Amino acid sequence: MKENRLTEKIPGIALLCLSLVLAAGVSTVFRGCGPKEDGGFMNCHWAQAAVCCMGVILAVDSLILLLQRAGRSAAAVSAAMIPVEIAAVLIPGRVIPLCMMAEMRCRSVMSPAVSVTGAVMALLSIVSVVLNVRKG
Amino acid sequence: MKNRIHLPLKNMLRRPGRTSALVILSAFLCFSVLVGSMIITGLRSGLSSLRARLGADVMVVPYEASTKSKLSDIVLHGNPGYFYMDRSVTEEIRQIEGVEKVSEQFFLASASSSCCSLAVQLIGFEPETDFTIQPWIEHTYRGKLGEMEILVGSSLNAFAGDTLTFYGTDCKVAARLEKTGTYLDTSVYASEETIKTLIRAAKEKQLFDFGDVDPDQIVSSVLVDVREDIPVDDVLNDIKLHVRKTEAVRPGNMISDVALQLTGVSDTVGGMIGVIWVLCLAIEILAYIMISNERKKEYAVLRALGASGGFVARSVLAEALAAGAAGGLCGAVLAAVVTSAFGNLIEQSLGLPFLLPDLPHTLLLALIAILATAAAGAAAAAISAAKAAKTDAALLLRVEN
Repeated sequence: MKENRLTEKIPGIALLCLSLVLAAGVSTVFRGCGPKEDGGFMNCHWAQAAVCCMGVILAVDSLILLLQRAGRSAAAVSAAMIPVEIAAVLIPGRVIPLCMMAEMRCRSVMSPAVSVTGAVMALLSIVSVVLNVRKG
Repeated sequence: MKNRIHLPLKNMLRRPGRTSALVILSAFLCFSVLVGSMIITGLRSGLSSLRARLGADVMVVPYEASTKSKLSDIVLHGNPGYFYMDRSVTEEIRQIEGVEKVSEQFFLASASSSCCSLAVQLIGFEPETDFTIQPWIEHTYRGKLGEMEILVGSSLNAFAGDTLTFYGTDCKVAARLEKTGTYLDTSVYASEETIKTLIRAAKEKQLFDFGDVDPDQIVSSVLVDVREDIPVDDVLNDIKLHVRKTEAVRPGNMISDVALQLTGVSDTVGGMIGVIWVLCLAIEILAYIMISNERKKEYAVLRALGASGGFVARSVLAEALAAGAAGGLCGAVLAAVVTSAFGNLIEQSLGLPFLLPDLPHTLLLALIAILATAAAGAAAAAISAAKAAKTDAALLLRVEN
């Protein structure tokens, strides 16, 4: 019984970890380009800030998901996370344009890292919805 | 027949932990082989793409270009730079015996603009005489470049109709060119008139040390195509002898350095794949031997129920094949996602021409990697399968009890 409850929580735990990776990583490990010589920021800085905010929102959602019992309400929380995850994938490069050259950090590191993390999170959320709907 | 498929599948589903471990190991095998082969293929494609783009037999540049910065940094790696010589050089080269075609090019490095902090290499060419850039441009753009119209390499985040500003001068993007995996992807191309306007603008803004050059009387490099019946080295030596204050180089020789580096990287990647495969195969063989020992009783029961030795062996092999195929599929998907998403980062880290294989080529590589992984899994389980087939049910159950 205890083992079953832990298995149910696996998508939630994974989503919380990935949300934190998204929020912290986009500001550190896979951050975008630095400021220009004149101190001004390029577009990618704002994309980075937006993704960081979304990571924090997703982390809060994941915590709520973890506190929920398996069932329809947990499915609803998981479903609500999907559009935010898709938005996180679309923000760098599509919603907010990135820098001009492909070799710049925002395009070679930040954008692919955010896309892969966001896509994995969206898949996990779908799995979570399916599992919780079954339980409900 | 039904049991031959159902029994291995049920065995796998019944022990998710064991199955997951085997699938993860196979996924790692497939991932390593696919990423490695995509990198090696990408490097080879990048080199042949670079060779195709540097189609000139001889390249003539100002003598200062070979001292000011490493010429290959600009010619092969596209590091933004500029150098100029007097335009009369072109006519002198044209007079040399054996020269068939001559085309001028103009280089200019952009200053960092509002879009980004990196400089972009601007290359001006004569569409009427060009025989190196034009054939590649024609894949995506067949029109004639108008005044203040530019073409951008595929790595630049600009599209047809966009306006880019260099030195306060607006240029309209006419087309975005197809990917080559070389420095050409990060450059901007313009006609002679446009690049001269930009050189004038840069000179007025005093952003670079142009000296007292007249944009109408300068050229950065002259590309030479040599007649087929004349040895290229003869023409090269003639240019070196008769055209003063210039440096004549064979782009092909510059590529040989890149090819040497590429061979080194390919060998290293190939060696790493080999080591990973040997280690993973050894782990898989050990895992299957341990699993086989653990499942002795299970095989004995099957034999006692009337299953032949061949049936038991096939069942073990089918499980290994299925785990290998499932892991291979996961590894292939992961490898494709990682290499396509981080292609630019890989290219930057390698510092060599790199052109990822297209979709059909990637699918073919993935299929080969999956089949190889499944076959490796089955091969690793072969010893266990042979042992399982020889299980003596009566002896084993008696000893165990």
